[in-house]
Amino acid sequence: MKLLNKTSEKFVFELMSEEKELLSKIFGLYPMLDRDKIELSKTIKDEQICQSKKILSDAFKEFQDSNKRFISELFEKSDNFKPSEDYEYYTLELDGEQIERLLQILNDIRVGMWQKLGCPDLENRKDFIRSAEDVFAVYIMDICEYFEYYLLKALGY
Amino acid sequence: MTQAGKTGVLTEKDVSEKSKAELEPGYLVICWNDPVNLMSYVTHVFQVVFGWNKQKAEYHMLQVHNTGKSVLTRETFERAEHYVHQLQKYGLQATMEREE
Repeated sequence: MKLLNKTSEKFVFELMSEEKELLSKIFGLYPMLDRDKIELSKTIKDEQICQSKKILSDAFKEFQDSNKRFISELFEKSDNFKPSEDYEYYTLELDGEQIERLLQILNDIRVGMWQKLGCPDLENRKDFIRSAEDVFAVYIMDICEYFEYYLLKALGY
Repeated sequence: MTQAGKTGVLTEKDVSEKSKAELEPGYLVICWNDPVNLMSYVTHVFQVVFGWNKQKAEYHMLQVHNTGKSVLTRETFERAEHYVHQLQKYGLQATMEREE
C-alpha cells in the first residue's frame, strides 16, 4: 500500500490485489470490540453513570452497524476501488472522513484481538502466545497495524 | 467563558448560566495507557476529538505513555460523557472520573 496522490479533499492509494483481498478479509472480522466490556468510569458507580453506560452501549452498537454498512459499500458498491488493466493493482480513493472510518474499524479489530488475548503486554510474544488461535490474533493485529501505519502516514504522522 | 452580548454587558441569563456551570461538579476525562494503541494513532485521535494542535496532542500522548494516564479535560457530566464516547469509538481506553 502506498500513497499516490493527496489533495486537500482526496487521498489516492495504490494497493496490490493481494492487499485489497487481505483488507476485505480483515474487515470481515469487524466488529471485534466488546461493547459490554467498555467502562464509562472506573470510580463512579451511581445510577446516572449506569444509565449513561446503557445509552452509550446502544450508541456504540449503532456506530459499529454504520461502519459495517460502510465496509460493505466500500467493497461492493462504491467506485472507490479501481483496478489496473491487468488487475494486479487497485487504486483506492478516500476522503478524510472515510480515512477516519477505516482507522476506527482497523483499530477496533486490533484492540478487539488484543482483548481476546487477555490484554497482555505486547513486548515479549513468547509470554502470551499459547495456541494457534493466539497466533492468528497476533497475525491479525499486525495486519491492522500495517494498514493503520500507511493511513496515518498519509495524514502526516 | 461566558460570552457577553454585543454591548459587552452580561445579561442575567449569562450570569445564571455561568454560575450553573461553575457550581456543577467537574468531571475529568482521562485516557489510560495500554500497550496496543500506536503512539501516532493516539496523537491523531486527540487532534481529531479535541481539535488540538499536534504539539498539545503529542504532549498528552506522551503523558499517557510515560505516566500511565493523562487528564485530557475537565467538563460537565454531559460533555465528559461525549468526549469519552468519542475516544472509545477510536478504541482508546478512556473514562470519566469525578474531580476531587
